[in-house]
Amino acid sequence: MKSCRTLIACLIASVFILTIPGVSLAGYDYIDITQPYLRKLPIAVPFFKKISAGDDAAQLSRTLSDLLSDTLDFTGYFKIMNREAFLADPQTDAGFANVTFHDWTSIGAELLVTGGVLVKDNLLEVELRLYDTFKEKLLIGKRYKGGISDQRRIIRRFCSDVIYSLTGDRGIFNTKIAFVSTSSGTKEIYICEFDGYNIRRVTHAKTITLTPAWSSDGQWIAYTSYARGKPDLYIKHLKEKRGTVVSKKGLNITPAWLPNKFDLSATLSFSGDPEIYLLTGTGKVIKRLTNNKGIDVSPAWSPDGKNMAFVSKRSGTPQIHVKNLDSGQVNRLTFQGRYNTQPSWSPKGDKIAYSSMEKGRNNIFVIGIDGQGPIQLTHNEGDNESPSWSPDGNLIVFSSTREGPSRIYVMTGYGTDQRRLLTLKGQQTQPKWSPRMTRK
Amino acid sequence: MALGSESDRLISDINVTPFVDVMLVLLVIFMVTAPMMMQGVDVSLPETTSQPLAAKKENLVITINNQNQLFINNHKVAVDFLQEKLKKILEGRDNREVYLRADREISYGFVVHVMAEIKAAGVDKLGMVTEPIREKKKGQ
Repeated sequence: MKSCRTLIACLIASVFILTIPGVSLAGYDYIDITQPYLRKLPIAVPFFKKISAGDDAAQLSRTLSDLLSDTLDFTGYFKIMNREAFLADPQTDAGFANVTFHDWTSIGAELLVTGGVLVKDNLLEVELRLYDTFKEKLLIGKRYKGGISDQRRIIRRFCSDVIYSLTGDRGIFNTKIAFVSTSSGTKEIYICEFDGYNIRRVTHAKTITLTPAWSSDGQWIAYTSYARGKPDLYIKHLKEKRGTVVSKKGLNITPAWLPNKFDLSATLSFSGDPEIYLLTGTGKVIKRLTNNKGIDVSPAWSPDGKNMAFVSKRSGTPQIHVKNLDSGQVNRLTFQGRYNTQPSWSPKGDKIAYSSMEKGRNNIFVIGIDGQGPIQLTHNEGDNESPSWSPDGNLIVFSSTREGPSRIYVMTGYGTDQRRLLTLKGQQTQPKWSPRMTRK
Repeated sequence: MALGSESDRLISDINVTPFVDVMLVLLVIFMVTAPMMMQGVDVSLPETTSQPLAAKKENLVITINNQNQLFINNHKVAVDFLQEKLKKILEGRDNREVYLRADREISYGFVVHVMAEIKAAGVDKLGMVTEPIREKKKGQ
């Protein structure tokens, strides 16, 4: 806790008023995030200029610029340009403060990030600038101070500003991903940052632990564990030692938190038939949400919390259904395929990602709330399951067996740029993207 | 469905392979005159009457000064690395057009050598930059 506070105290981003006021209000005409096949913006990220002498600064000027381009690349919006094509030396003034825009426009770079790194007594000072090379305009100029250990936070915060100035959205740099891994021999829940860094084990039950679900403030996690010999629902605070266990007769599985509430839904079978119930964050049943003879499981909430998607076997095969909480009406959403499960509602509210089994293989599909589509996002590459949207609606995290063992992958919401998120011992499954963490 | 004897069918399409070959070998060379205020490495250019160079932001200019030194824009490169560097630059560009400004004192052999390097890098259009003929000089 204490270290956390000092970190924040250190990281005072003193915003330099480098931009002329008004310039930053120029609108978000760079990346239209609603376009399915957007052209990737060519961006040049030369090595940063080392302002202080010494090996530390030289090393950091390289690693920080690499980290910045990797972080921007993760979003799928950019084409990171080959540094060997650059015509300006990053260690001269032209590589940082007095940019010659022609050097960058003539090699095809439309955006440019330059930086200066100053290291003094284990303190790091980084100045970063984003330029539009064709308009010859400074879009963002910021200076960050912090400890050497704050470098990832500094870069992430600047990237967040970059994405905000280009798209009008804060991006996902402040999010985490929870997943199940068998690295320790049994299925346990782990958490990592959005780009797969800082992997941390959350549960130590030495038994089967499944289906992590984030509360909408990112502070709580709900999951199913067999710690008491049967599937019980655990609700756990991530930082404090608080929480409850829902241990009713039968199954207590597939939790999903409601948006902006300390309530969650889960499948319980104490009545004999697996049905979805609404529970408080303290584990008390508020009411029953589904009422049908078939199995009802895997709830997923619309961003406004008024509709719930879930899997039901009421029509014979597992299909995604949507229930409107106000009217109580249930509509079947998927008609294609005989085995559609694991719905994840997109943060913009217009789409649902799910996994569908056909010919013994699972693949990820996206369907419009109006039933438009469905569009298949993964093809002929092992089993692809458990889609979960990033909170900005741009990316989907999922698990895939394309390289043999099940691992966590990320792709854009349109199925492009599929890549592995991390490599860990054992198998990784059931990823869940966190909401944006509220800064505290 | 074909009419049985598929192997005997005549190929009625034009075989484009030789055409593509020819296109790849070609280097389109054209001449432009530098606008009055063209910045960059200082060279004295030959004078001709030709189309003025449109001042576009993405123009890529290779300059040879009178000491046989090579520059891409203002960035100095050795002749041996010109091709490699150009290839990487072209990867990020939409067109493959390059302008060459060679000092009038430079030997023809060196210019042609540089042009060969430029072509080998994948450039398909090369603009030779000259200066407009100055009327005063003519009268002397």
